[in-house]
Order: sequence, then structure tokens, then C-alpha cells
Amino acid sequence: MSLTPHGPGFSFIDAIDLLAGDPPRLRATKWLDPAMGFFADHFPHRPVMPGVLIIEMAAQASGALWGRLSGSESSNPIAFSLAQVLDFRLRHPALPGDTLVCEVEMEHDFGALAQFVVVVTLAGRDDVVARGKITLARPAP
Amino acid sequence: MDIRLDDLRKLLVENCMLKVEPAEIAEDMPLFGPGGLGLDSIDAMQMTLAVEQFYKVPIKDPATAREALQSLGTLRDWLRRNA
Repeated sequence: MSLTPHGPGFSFIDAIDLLAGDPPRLRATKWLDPAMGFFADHFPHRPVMPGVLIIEMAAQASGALWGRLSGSESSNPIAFSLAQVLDFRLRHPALPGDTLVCEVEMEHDFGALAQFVVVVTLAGRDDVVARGKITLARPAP
Repeated sequence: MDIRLDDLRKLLVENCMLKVEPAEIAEDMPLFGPGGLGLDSIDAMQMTLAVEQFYKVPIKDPATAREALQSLGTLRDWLRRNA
């Protein structure tokens, strides 16, 4: 079962942990299976996870946090829309076999919109893969 | 607290990435809708966060933000009452 509203081919979250504290935080992890299709062509002989997919993981983790704070069932995740990508820096490559750890914190809940601060690292290492802010929009009623 | 219109103009231009000179934004110019600056809901959220950081005063809900962010003049008045 996917932890996001996406189909399994476009879900970039394997596991989720809600973290205690205020403001609310969540940690999502994703193992980068070397068989993932994009590695074959991005790039041939030098596979690396596309930066836009790292941002997509950050957006999915943000949606998972907002969904849980909104009381949605994990079996029926809310399909939030990506509304803004802000101040993102991609600092370190993510390679086949790596496990990405995405920690997301809600910065502001604006009702129809919410903004999140995101840091993506490699599991077991201190390397920061990416950091930035994500804004999501609730689906129209 | 002294709330300066020029500070609000600068916050608006920088945080909403506007392509206008700050001095061109009149105090009573609507920030949203026709005839105004044409800001959208994401701009409103960015401006809310910027105001919170600059003046250390929270704009707690979207209804308050709508009331305060009608124009720079209404924002200045709201800050004078709440900052």
C-alpha cells in the first residue's frame, strides 16, 4: 500500500515516522532501488537521482505530514498539490542504493495553503542532499 | 512601534517578487483583485510570513490576513493596533 496518494511507481516514500515536538515534524525514508527506471537514462553510465524527484520526495513528505495533522487516514491520503518550491539547494548527489531521509517541519498553516521546511540527508551519514521550502495547496472541496 | 510604509513596500516587493519599484505602490492600492497589484494566495502567505518575521507579530489565521492585507495602508493600521 502506498503511503502517498500516488501510484507505487511515483511514490517516493517507503516509511514514515511522526516526530514528537512543536512545531510538528515528520521523517520519511526512501531506498533508491537501482532498478528504478530513471537511473537508466539519468545518466547512462553515471546514474544519479534527478533533483526534481528529490524535490518531489520533499513534497510527498510534506503532504504526508499535513495529511496526518489534518486527521486523514493513512489508507486514504489526501492529494495535496505542489504550489511553490522555494529556496531549494541541491548539495549532494543521491545514487542508486542510497537511502534518503527527508525531515519536514510545518512552518505555517494558512488554511488552503501550508509551507514546510525540508532537509534531505543520506541515511547514516551527515551529508545534506537538499534543503528548501515547499508550499502545498489543499484540493478544492 | 513605528510602522513605516517604506518598510512594508520593501517587504512586499522582496517577498512577492514584484517587478515594480517600491515607491510606485500607493498606500491605498489594493493588493489583490483587478485594479490592484494582482497578488495571489501564495503571495499572501509569503507576505504574512515576512510580516511575522519582521515585526514579530503573528497573523494567526487567513481571515485576519485578508483583513490586514487589503492594502499597505490597512496592513500598517493593523500592525499599529497589534505590533
